[in-house]
Amino acid sequence: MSGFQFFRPGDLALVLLLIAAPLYAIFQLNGAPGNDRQVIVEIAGQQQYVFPLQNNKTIPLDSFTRPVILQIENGSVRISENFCPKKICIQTGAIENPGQMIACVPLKLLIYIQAESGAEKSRQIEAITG
Amino acid sequence: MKPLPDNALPRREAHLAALVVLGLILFLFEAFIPKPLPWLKLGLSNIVTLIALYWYGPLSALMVSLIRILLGSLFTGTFLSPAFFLSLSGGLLAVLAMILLFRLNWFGIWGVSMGGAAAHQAGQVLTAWLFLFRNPLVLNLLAYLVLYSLISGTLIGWLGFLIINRLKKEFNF
Repeated sequence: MSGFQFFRPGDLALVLLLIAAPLYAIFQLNGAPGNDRQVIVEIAGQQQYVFPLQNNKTIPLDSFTRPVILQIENGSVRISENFCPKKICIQTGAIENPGQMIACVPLKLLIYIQAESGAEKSRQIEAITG
Repeated sequence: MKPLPDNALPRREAHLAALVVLGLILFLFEAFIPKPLPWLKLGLSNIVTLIALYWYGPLSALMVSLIRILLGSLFTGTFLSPAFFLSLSGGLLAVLAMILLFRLNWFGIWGVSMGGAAAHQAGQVLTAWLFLFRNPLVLNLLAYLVLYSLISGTLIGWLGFLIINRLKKEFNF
């Protein structure tokens, strides 16, 4: 035993591993900001639409009898118009990262971001681990 | 009250018991600090596990860790709750990782501490993922927690280093 030490060479390797592995995982699960990201629109639990996040677009959702409009711009998405009573979904503002979501409860509308590569990874993880 | 004679209680058990008590104090102390996020703890009480490891070895560290977690959950009323199992799995994985790194000899106390901190988070998240939320985003959280554990691991490792050095002088080991 070479004595009681705070630092030994192995520590460096460990630190690098503990920095690199998480960063890699974050990149894999989320995709680079702006790229590979998709907007998923779910209505009543069913995935209805998928839009790329990079393309600026104004999208009226025609699943509803009255106007509900998505605005995709600058790598983020928000609801710009809705006929729901409380407009909480509009107040939620814009989302841009996987994991964030906009919800409109009365319309059973759910909008969230997914990374294209992340979606692949998620499905792979689900498939492997059941 | 007359003080106990020197041979009344084996020294090692007395020291380990003291470490458990200290760990509990630190644990309860931490419980009262407001935290930005529920899982972002400093993990101060892990320092006693580290001390037990370098002072009396792997088995002692394991005992100190498990007893500390058990008593801590009894004191805070979380025994057998989901939080308890998260804490237990995290703590268990952490001690095992620390023992492994300790035995391998390529790592200083800094590495041992960081490995323990990271393993702690991994154990908690894995348990949460297996038994609570089956969502790949949870692994995302793990990534951030591991990055954070580098800081807490370094802090605990450094404190442990200072304390163990003093203990070495005092108790000759």
